[in-house]
Amino acid sequence: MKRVTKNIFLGVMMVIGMIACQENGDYEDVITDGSYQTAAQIRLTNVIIHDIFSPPVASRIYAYPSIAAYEVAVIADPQYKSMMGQLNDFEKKEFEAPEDVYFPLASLAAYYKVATALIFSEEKMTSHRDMAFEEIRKKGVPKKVFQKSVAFGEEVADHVIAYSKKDNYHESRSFEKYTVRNDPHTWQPTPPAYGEGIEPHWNKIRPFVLDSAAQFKSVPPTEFSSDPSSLFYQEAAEVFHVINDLTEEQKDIAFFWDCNPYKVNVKGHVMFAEKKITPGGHWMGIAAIAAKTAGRDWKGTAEALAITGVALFDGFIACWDEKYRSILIRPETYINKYIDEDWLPLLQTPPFPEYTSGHSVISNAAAETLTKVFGEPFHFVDSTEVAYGLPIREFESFRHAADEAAISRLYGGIHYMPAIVHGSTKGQKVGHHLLGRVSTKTENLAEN
Amino acid sequence: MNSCTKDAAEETKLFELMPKGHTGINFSNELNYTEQINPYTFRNFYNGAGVALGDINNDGLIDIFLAGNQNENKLYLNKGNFVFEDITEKAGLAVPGIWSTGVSMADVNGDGLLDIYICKSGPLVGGERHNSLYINNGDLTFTEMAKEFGIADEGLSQHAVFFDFDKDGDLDMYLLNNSARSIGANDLRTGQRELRDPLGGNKLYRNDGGFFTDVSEEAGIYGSAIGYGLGVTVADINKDGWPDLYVSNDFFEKDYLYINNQDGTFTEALEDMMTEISMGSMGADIADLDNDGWLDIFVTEMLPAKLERVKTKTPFEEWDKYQANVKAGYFHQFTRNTLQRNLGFKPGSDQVHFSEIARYAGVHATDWSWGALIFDMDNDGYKDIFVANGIVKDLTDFDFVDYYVHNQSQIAQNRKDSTLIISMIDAFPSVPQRNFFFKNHGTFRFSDVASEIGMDQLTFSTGAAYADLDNDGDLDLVINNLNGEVFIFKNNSSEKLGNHFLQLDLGNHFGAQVSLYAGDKFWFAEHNPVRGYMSSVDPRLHFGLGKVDALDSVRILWPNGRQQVLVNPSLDTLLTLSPEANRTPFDYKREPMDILMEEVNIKFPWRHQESDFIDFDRDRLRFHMISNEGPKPAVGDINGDGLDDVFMPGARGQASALVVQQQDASFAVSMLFEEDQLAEDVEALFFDANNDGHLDLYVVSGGLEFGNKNPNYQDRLYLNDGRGYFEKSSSALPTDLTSSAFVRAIDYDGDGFLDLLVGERNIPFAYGLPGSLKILRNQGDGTFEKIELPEFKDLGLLTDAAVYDLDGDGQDEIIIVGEWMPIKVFKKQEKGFKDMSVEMGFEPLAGLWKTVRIIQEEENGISLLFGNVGTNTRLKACIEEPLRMYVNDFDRNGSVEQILTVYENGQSYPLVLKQALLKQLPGLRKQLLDYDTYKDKKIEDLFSKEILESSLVLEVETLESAVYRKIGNATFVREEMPQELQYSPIYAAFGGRASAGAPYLLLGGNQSRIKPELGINMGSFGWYLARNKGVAFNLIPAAKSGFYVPGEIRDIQKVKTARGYLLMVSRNNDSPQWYKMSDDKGEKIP
Repeated sequence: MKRVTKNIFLGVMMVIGMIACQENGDYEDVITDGSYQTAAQIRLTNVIIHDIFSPPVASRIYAYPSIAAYEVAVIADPQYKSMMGQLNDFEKKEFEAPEDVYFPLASLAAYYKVATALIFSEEKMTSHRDMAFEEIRKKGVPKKVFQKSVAFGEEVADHVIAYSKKDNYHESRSFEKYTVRNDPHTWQPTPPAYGEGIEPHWNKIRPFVLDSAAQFKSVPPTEFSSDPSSLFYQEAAEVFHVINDLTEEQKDIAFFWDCNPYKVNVKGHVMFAEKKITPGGHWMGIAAIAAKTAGRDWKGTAEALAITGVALFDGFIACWDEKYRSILIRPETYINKYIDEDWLPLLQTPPFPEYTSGHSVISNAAAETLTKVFGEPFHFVDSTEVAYGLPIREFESFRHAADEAAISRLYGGIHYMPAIVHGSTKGQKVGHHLLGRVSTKTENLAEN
Repeated sequence: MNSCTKDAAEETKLFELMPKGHTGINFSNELNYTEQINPYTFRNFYNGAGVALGDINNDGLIDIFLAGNQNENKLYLNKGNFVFEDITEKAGLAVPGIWSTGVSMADVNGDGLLDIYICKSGPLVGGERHNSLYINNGDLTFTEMAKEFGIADEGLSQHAVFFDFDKDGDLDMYLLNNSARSIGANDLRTGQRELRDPLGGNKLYRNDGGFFTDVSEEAGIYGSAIGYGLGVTVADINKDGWPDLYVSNDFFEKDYLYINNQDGTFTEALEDMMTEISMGSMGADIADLDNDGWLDIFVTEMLPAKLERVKTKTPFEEWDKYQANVKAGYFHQFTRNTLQRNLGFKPGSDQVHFSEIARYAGVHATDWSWGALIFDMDNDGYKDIFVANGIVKDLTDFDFVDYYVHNQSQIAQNRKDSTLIISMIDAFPSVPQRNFFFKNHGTFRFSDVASEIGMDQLTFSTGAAYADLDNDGDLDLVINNLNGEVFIFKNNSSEKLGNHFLQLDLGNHFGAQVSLYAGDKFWFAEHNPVRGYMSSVDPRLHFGLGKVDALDSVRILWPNGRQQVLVNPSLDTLLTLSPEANRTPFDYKREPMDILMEEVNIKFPWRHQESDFIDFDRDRLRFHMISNEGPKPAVGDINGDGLDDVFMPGARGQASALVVQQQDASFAVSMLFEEDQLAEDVEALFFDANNDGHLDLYVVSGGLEFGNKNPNYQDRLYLNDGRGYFEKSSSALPTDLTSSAFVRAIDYDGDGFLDLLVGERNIPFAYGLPGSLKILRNQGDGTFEKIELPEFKDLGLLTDAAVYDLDGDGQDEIIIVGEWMPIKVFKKQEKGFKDMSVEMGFEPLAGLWKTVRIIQEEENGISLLFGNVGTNTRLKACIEEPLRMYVNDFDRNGSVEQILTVYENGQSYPLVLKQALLKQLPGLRKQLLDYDTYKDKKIEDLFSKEILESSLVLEVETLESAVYRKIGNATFVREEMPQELQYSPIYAAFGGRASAGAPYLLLGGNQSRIKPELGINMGSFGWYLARNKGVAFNLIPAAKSGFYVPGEIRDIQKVKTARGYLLMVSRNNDSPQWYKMSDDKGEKIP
């Protein structure tokens, strides 16, 4: 009860706090909204891009730090419900918060600690943390409070890190490489880099809420055939024709949702990679934008990011389970072989099987979750891609954005329609299942 | 043989760089990139330009023409004593602003004066953008007449060679055009080679009396848009007197070897003659490197010599992509220089065959190489190899590829400012390189002496040509450098070494062939002076003769089919010769040769089919697969009809088969063992398990395709019902679910029943952990119990064994070989066995041994052949600097990893590239953020002391196959063997006695499943070695022996057939090949 009162008080004091924050003891409103965590997440996105993590792995790197940050918010504010005990194998642990802990800082410290553990370029993460901490310190958080808060946040972080270590990720690094098969329907590495199929064992990663990776198994893809009268051929021909007659709007949509973390450009012996945000990174960005648009405080932001991270993580697991079950050939390979040898997709084909579309699954999983958190309609301006040289786009709802993300894969020439349709369904199922399994609000407070 | 000592190089400063103040040559091929013209927009931006050397005014002094890209071409008149005069303007050759590339000097119009043909490339702008033909007016001026002659091509021309392909007496032209098509998504498409590029493509022009006609299509010359040709070389590869062509293609397209059909057409037949070639082939040269009269081919590529540049800049094909390349018709191409040794004719064929031995010769890695020139730089009688190298910008730098462009908004900004490309190129590293000069020590041993002989400059060298510029009897060298002054190197060999030489001026008669004879010494060369990268060399043929001070004779085969012989010619001079007067005709046709072994067609309806299991998909850090080591069949008469039958072990997924001989010497499958077809059967043995007088069958199941302790590893015993029907005896063998390599029968306890020795090949999912030799003791009733002796425990990764009474005491010894272990010889003791290896003279050298066989020598002597992987590999191993393999679960996640380390400059480094290492051990990424960090890391820098101390560290000290000959009662001494033994892994051997009783030795092997990074070893076709009168074994060429078996030989066995004794040569993933010996004694071979 005491904490709730304090929070109300904080809201009132916000304006005054901004003037008086240099005063010792008057630090309560140094961090109010989610801007520090959002900034940390943007840095994390940069490091993920720099270190070249694939989309499934990136979703893991977003999820755990967000959960850690959220768990501190839960301790700070009893209206939020811990994910411990709700997520698979996430054991409950009681944390004793020090008397003068500054929760928003602890939450931020938890985020940085977990994030740093999961990426490679640690210095890029810790230097960002140090700058943020320095700023916070200068705004008047007393040294003792500061130290205790960081230590507390890192204690929560350690629990989350221990949890993350048991999700089979570490073991799966040494699982067998995907063996390319000769059957005509199967996925083949695609030009120009002919990269190996990434994460063929991602369905062995422990999901947060799914009973198993195959829980929402998709209907099988259309039966393969190279016969021009076959349905499969028609689906490939659809991709072929759509790409050949793309409108400018469709191209904009395709590029906007490209989200290719590693596009290889080859010119003779010259090579260079262009790197962009991953699909999961895009949606984490949307979650942060939504929290800001809705005026959520740091706890509300942490909530939105955590639940979105969980949705994306399980979405990738569900999607990858199907990808390496059906191991379907990509449109580029099929069209070059059976329709037009010189055809190129608009986007570079990513290195894994076609069915279902990852963007369709994870966008819909995230959209269902975000719709629950922020409601519908919800107008927002998506500026996540501005840093990567692309314009903004505006959406009236998360589902609106998810639909566009899904269809963008057709415009990009990297998916057939069934992967988009059934991928979207799968994503929605994952989202609904998550919302049925995990609650972020304690019931009694929710009723108040 | 196993020390690290290198061939000595004692050539001090043979070459002297002449200052421009002296020569008067002030030329530098300077390049400036802009947003419009740069390596991105123009792929060949850094490809350089050529050098043409020839006497344009017939004053006996070789003049110099230098081509420039962005600067203009220059012609320098030789005034003697390395003084030159720039006569470009006067001669009418000044054409500024046009990108010139290759330049050829030849008397195109046959008027006795050298003309100049200049290839053009670059942007399609400027006045004289087309290729130019400058006709020599004879007064130090030239007139451009390319259009008049019909060869004013306007593409991305690279070089043109002049040669008389139809032998009508005038010079025709092959024009090498580089494709304008960008490299991108088209590298796995099939059928592109056959499509002519309407905008360019390679062209063959026939000289029709002063006008050149494009005859490419009817002559069978490829002219597609995937021809990224960088080099073209003329040579008579197959010794029929007609010039053939080698075209080296950059990027994914394979090289072309065009054989002249003698009717105005060519047949591209590289794949019939070669097994592996360079990937991004650059320059090439062709010459006889071992003075055997067969022309060898050297092709340059881009593999760096130093590991640190390999680790930061060198992309290799992944295994899957390599397989896809082969499937799509792009053949076996690898990132390294290749040296194709011409092994002469195939038996009974007019086609030659090559063994690729650049790694054996040590000439495979010379960084980003352009020009290759083969000439005798020190006149010692062996032609040496010069390689010009260097790329102005390290275009493949991995850190650049991965990290430069991670800021997409910066890219967008640069795009807007039109500075994207130049700002990127600015950021590329630029590291000049030292050129390579390989001194030829004979027998294909080379050492790089560039620094010692005065060529230690760091440059970006491209075209180069040699000529005796000061007529002092040695060849000087001119090198065209990018962004640096041209090099004029004066050769001081004549003064310093005093070796003899001979030069021949054969005029315009390109294709003339010259042989020199002096006792048992021999030299051969062809007169084709348009050669080297974009260049033309001294048109006078040059022979270094070493200390040979007299020649018996010189024979010239003129292109008009006449031959001329000079007896006892004078040396150290220039002979000017012409074909006209009184020459006798020469016939290139060969008499059919008597061969020692004849291939026999035997109907054998079973073909081994290897599974497509990929070891690397599980063990990412290994380089060699071991899942394709079968079949080693069992041979014996199983039905008592007096004829041998065969059990063929099938690979994973293929049922093994009992193949029974019929009365007509054909074979028929009588039993398929489908119940156990999943198992990877590798070897089998017929022996009498239960002393019932019939041959029973033991089948060895090995490989590593299944999980550890999988039932498919269980070996199997089948009992013969006496009529050739085999029944599996399920309870006869103890349960043992380990991967086996071999089985040998031995009655080790002397109870009259045959016991078995079974060797453990490897522990699946834990390659590197040693396996044991097991004894299966025959309990007298055809059942066996496993005896595990401490001396046989954890011996290594066992591959083969022999049982033989080495010391003649009546008791068999056991010889065991394997990978990562030395040769082991065990002698039976009262109790157990004693290791006698060292005592008997076998050096304790760990190898990657594949096989051991006994060879019967004369007078009841014996030798032992030990097959190893050979030294034709990027790996090196010796006692002081062993190959090491660290085995551990390095990241403690339940999977075992293998990390191979190799020595370079006295330090041991992991061989694996960072990408591959991090895929297996991503945790290391935190300390290896970029490639630069990894390049000089030793294994100690990567892992904690604790991890390393808990690792199993295996070593290999020799890669050489070896023969040990028995001296005295029980002592063995290693014997010097022909170089060819080391060209490829040896998996199989057969020792026999020829009709006169002289021993011969047949060897076979090869391995196709090695990562492209190291490259496959397919360059042996079965070696036939003969020993006459006790002297060393000698290689008999295939054309003479008749023994020619392409593919992967795994076993050679004698089979008694209705057509007499035959040799069955078993191959992996192929059918067996059969041979009849010219002798047919049929004596028992152990």
